[in-house]
Amino acid sequence: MEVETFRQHLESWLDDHAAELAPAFPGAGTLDQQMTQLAKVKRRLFDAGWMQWGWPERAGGTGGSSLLRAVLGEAVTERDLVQPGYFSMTEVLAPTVVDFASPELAAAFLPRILSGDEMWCQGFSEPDTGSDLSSLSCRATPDRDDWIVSGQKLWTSLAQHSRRCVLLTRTGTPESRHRGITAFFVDMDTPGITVRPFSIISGDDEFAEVYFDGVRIPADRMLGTVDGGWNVAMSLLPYERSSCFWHRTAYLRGRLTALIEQVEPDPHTETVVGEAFVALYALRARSHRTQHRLAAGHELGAETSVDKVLVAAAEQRLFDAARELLPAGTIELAADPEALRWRDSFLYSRAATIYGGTAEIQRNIIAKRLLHLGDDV
Amino acid sequence: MDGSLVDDAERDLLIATVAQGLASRRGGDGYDVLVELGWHDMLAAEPHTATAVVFDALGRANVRSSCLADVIATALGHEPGVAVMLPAYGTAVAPGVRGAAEGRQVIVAGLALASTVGAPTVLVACTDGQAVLVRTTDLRLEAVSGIDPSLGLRVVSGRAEPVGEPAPAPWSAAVDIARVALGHEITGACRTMLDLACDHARGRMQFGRSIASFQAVRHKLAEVLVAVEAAEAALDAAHHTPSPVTAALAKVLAGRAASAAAVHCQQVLAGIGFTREHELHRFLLRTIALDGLFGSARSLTRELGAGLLADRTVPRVIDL
Ligand SMILES: Cc1cc2nc3c(=O)[nH]c(=O)nc-3n(C[C@H](O)[C@H](O)[C@H](O)COP(=O)(O)OP(=O)(O)OC[C@H]3O[C@@H](n4cnc5c(N)ncnc54)[C@H](O)[C@@H]3O)c2cc1C
Repeated sequence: MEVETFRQHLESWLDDHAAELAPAFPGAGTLDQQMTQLAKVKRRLFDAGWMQWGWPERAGGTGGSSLLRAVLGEAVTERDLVQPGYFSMTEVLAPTVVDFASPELAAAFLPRILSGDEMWCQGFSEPDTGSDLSSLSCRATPDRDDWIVSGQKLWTSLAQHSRRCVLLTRTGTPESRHRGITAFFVDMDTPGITVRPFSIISGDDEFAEVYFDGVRIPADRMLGTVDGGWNVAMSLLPYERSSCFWHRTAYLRGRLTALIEQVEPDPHTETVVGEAFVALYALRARSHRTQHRLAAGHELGAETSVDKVLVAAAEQRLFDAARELLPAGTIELAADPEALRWRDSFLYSRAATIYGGTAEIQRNIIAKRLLHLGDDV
Repeated sequence: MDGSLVDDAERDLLIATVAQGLASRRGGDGYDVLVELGWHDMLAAEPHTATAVVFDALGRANVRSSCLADVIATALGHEPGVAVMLPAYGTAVAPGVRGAAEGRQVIVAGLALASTVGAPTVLVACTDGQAVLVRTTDLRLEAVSGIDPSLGLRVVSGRAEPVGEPAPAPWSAAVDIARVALGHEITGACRTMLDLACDHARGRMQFGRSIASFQAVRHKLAEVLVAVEAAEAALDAAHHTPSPVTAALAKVLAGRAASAAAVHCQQVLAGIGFTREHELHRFLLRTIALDGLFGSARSLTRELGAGLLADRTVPRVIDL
């Protein structure tokens, strides 16, 4: 399927089904409302065959270029049908499952996340493991054909809404660092898993602590090989910076449009709006390249750290501009749904320099891997 | 250098050939070298590749040329090789105003490249959408020493008789292609600044170790790479989706990359980067001078913002 044809057919399908796809709540809604909306939209898109494009046929997809996934996410985000970060979770986790799970497992589960039947979560970070992912300690021990997992994960986004988790565990000695990590695809309803949601700065219960206490995982749920989890994690991170970021440009464009509807032109506002636009476009131009590299079959790697720095810059500049230019008190005081949406998005934009590798970690990667400056002290 | 240049290998070969040709001209003029390599034919056959490769190479090598006049002339419907008036510094306004009376003298105010000196006529795009040739001897051409004397700019003013008939000329198309060309030249210069600073960082020892091992240094250089890569992506986009907006954005992002490169590369080079002993100064000064041609990063950013506020909509600009 040609990208342009796909876009046109999709747009007209979305036009035809606008009423049934629209959210039933004003503004951004609550987290629960967003989850329901997300599941509804994905289900409709799946039943009409849109969600499957760009995913391999062997895993239940329809095949075709990965560009189609970027275009789909852009279109539903532009129409404000979904919260882009949640919609994009598929792009973060599913490619890794497709690449590293057994063919049967991938074929059994990919359709479930595409259809909105399931959310999945990412169990990487721990209380003592943030930027230094290779220090993780949540342990998996072999027990005949199974593995037994004990430990804790932290900042696990939407764990309480998720049916599966892409989990990183320690299988080597504590000193084995990145050589002793193994990845699993875990059912969240397995006995021994406790999820404790807690609120992020905007007030939504988006984060969770996840406790594993003697959780039994069948060996066929391993992603990759024993002690090969680092490879799984490193292949996931670039996915977190490809199609998702293209979706994000659509979200940021929508917010910039909403902003300029409320701003009177003068030399200062023109400059502030211009700067937000330039930062957004820098991301879009870069991400355009990345989408094409991915579609052409290039393996994405350290160069996607550039995309991550640009997404953070674009997002924070835009919401700083919003805070400056919106009518006084919109973000700080008002309580109508639109104002709440501005407040939530402003607060959420602060995470852009933290999640998926902090701003500092991205610059470390760029210096070492792209500029070849050797190791730091 | 003519024919269809589609594949990467050919492009790489071209890049290497042009770089080699320009290497001995650092700080000087390389136009003759480029013409010898087939610049005019390539500009006709493969304007995007030609502009990207040649201007990037000029920036990287710190070589001036008359190529900018050629891309503008071509956009205005003329053959390359003719001298062309550029807009006044900091603007993209057509440099000529045609008088209303019979005879129609042209009031000219703007800049010109060094090669205009000695050219019998110069092409002047006028605010009424026409372009006309005028006699160079009718005009005052003053050499600009300025921040980057080796760029060889001239400030031009005067009233001149048209030579031949005026013809309609799409000035805005010329502005777009000039912005893209300058964007490549600026970004090329940034690449060299970044290389110079990285080389220095790797080799310079302080406190018993290479300064490249200090995170404060590494992060500055990473910042430059991000800005340069963003500018290069925007330049790509200006070729695959040509429009006034993609051209302006490409020039803005090139200018921003240059600001980042100037600040951070100079800081990493420190004392030596503050001198004319080190090559950095050539590139740094060149990018500052080029920023003001056809609108600076700052003025274009504001213009883009004004455009959005006037339209009350944010364009997608580029699509997959
Ligand atoms: C919105 C959001 C969603 C998230 N979702 C998930 C999720 O679903 N699953 C999951 O596993 N994790 C998730 N995370 C966690 C995220 O990956 C971590 O927060 C991140 O990796 C940083 O770890 P940390 O918070 O422990 O900070 P730390 O690693 O402790 O860092 C603290 C500070 O020190 C700096 N620092 C650390 N090391 C270095 C260094 N070598 N050089 C320079 N500076 C350094 C950091 O940049 C940072 O500024 C999410 C985070 C956010 C904000």
